[in-house]
Amino acid sequence: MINMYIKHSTISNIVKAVIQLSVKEDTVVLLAIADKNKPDIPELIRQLNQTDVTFIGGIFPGVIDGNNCYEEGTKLFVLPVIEQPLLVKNISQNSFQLPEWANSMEKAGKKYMAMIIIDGFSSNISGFLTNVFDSLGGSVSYIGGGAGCIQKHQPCIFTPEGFFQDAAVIAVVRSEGLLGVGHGFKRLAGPIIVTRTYDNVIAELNWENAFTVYKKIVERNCGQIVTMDNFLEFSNDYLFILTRECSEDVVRTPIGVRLSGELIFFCEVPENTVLYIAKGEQNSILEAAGQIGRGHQGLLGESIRTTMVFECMGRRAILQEKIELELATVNDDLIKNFGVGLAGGMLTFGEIASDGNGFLEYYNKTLVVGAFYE
Amino acid sequence: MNNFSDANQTAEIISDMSFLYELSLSIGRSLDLVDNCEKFLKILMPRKNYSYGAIWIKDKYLSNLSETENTTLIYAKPRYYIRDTEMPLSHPLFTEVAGRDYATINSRDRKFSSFINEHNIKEGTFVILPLGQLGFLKIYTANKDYIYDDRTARKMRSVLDKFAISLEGCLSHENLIAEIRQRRQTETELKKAREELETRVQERTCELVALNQDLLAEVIERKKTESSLRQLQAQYQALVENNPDIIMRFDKELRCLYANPAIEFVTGKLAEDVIGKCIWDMDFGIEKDKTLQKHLMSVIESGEQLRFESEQAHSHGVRYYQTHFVPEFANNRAVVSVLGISRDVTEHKLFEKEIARLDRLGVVGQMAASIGHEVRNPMTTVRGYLQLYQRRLTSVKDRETFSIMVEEIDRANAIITEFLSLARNKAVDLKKNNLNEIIKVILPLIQADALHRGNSINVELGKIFDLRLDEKEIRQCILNLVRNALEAMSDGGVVTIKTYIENEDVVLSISDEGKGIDSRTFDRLGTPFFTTKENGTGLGLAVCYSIVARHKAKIDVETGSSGTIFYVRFADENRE
Repeated sequence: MINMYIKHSTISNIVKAVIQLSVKEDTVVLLAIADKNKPDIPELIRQLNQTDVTFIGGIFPGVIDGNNCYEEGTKLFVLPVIEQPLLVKNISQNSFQLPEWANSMEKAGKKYMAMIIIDGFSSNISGFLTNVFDSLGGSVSYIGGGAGCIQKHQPCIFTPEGFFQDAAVIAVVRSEGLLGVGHGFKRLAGPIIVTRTYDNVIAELNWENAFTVYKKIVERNCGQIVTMDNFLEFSNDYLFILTRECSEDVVRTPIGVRLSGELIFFCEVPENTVLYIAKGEQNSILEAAGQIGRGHQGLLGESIRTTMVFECMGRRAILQEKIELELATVNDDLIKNFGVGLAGGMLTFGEIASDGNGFLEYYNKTLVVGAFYE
Repeated sequence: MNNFSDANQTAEIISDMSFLYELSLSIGRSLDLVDNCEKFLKILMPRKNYSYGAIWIKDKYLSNLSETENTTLIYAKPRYYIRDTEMPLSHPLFTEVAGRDYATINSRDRKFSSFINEHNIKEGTFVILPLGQLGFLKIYTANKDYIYDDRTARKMRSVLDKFAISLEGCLSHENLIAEIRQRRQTETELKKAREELETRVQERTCELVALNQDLLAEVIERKKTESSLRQLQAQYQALVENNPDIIMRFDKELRCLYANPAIEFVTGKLAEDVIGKCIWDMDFGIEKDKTLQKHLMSVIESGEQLRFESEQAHSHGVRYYQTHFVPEFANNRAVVSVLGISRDVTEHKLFEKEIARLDRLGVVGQMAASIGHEVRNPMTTVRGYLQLYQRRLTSVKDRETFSIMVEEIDRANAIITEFLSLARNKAVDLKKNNLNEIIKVILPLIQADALHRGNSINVELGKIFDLRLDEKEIRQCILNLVRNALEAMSDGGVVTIKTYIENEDVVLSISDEGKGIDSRTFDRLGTPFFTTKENGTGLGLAVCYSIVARHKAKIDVETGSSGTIFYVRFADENRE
């Protein structure tokens, strides 16, 4: 699988690169375009549509080439696909109907990798993923992440059909895959019961005001005063995890607090869920990156076609410049285990990873690495 | 080491507690069966990383499937794996767990494949958990090394029991809802049926009322029609029954089907004596019965109408009949009967004859008027010269010859005079006169004539009123009629002269005792120059008709074997 990094995301550069890739009929070009200095996307779509190349793409807060992370530029992946990518619009309205792909998956006889690029600021992402899993089940492995612009919720998903907000695109890559998922956050307090919620808001924890409970625990740990005004200074480090057996715990990051003391999240947290408040330390997070490739040893290097990383934007906020150290760790781990380094990826608002066994979860603050092999 | 172990144990207990807490609270949050199952599996599956979960309920607990010994798939996630949705209770999947808390089987076991009733599952582990008596929870994980042991089963037992009870509650609720819905539906249908029935009853009632009104109107109309028909029938019956024409109907065998009372006048037989008899059995005594039969047969055979005239002699004279036979048809156009209408046209015939006679008189009269003057003048000249030459003759024989010549001219002149009296426009001198008085004046002359012939005159003069008469002409008329009567009789005959009033008319009748007038002669009575006498001029009776006509009177004649009667009827307008 070919991949390429374009430093300057001009339309001509991107179009020229796409043409140079000599994309085959049953392949699709994934364009991860960094938000900063991004080109006029509708015009890019118009020009790409003239090339007869099938493409999907998203706007991300950053792109990764090798173990380097950039705020600008475009990362291209050429992916062989078994079906034309599927665009799902208006996912927040929960009115979409996915096609019955079970038969074509069964015929393939292999567990391919479904890549999902989703508007990370949409509501009902969990509902969408439940629907996708309902349709595809364990026939595929899943990998993907949330696109978006940090400033505001705006269109961030594009295909030959246009530039969309509140949308997702699914492409089933003609390749099997291995997944590595890790976050490295350590439990700080808990168990805590989510006693009252609605949508993606937690109103009460342990039958008390959610912010009060959160503030008490965080203040006890860090020794500082947590207020609603400085809430965001702490929320990136002190977050919630939902425990899972036989799989990575699910991280939920609070992204805001209301005057009523209700905590706001990217995704909904079910009422009566038991969770923990966890803290991320640079070392432990970096350590998680080193765990990702474990258990997948034995695959021959030449069978790996490419590797891809979905790195949560929140992790970068924690790791700062050490993000590249984490990526290098992943790169080293991949080389160590598979003999192939990290091709690249994107910074995301939420990550998707599942081998198809168990529910399809939407992670936060997580590092997802996928190795595509034949 | 112990501390670490304790901490792990505590963490495990906390983890189990939190899991059971979450799972327990997910149960019974909805009375909707599917919603309840979805909430339960949504907690269970992610926490345990199960790939598939399915809830099967025995059909006997599902109200609409109670007759079968099967289980039905109520809910499963993800639907990607769903294949069978109905399984018999005898399936190993369910028999394996009978009487046990759980059954588990992984793909290393040969029996694994018999437990698969899903799509796309080839290896892994199934766990079957009974849900009380209600059904089963089937769990699948792709991990073929997954262990679900007795301890895990005990941990899950109370939660699963609670889940089963909540499902029973859902089913009861659904059944209740279904019953309520069914009851409401039944009530709605009943209400609708009742409303429809009421509507139909109302519509039917309206229809019946309308129908009744129509029937009443029809009855009234029919009664009116029947009444009209009865009136009409009575009218027609009256018309037919009182019609002077003979109306009869004959069938194809010439049997009389109907005859109106008029037949009695002609045949002397009552209608009821005629009806039902064939025409040849009727014994009408009609001479031309055979002609009648022939005509009837002709109409029956041809199907065409037929008109003909016939005459019949009666004791009071010959009567003339005009008969019209009309065929009557069945639907197949075959003649089934013949309607016959016979009209007595005797009066019409006589009238026609009278008209013809008057016409003849008129013609002769005009001729007489035009030629009388032209003939008389030269005759007067001849007579004058004959008398002049007679006086000069000396021979007695010559004188007698000339005397005969003068007498013949006088006789010719007398004939012309009579002839002239035929003229219709001859001037009459009408004056007040009594007919009896005129008779009395000429009676001696008449009696002398009768005596001379060996006959006698009988005079019966009734009380009559005066009339406007030309005495001279009436005298001539009486003389002519009496002379005819005398000449019609042999010796010893009596001529009776009567006057009387009949129907306000003054009637003069002169009857003889002769042998009557034959019909051929009868038809020509009054025709100028028609005579049965050897020396007659054929003008006498013609002159009588002319005189009577100028007096606007009328002559009727009755004749028979016992004699003939001439009636002169003076209409009321002659009355003075």
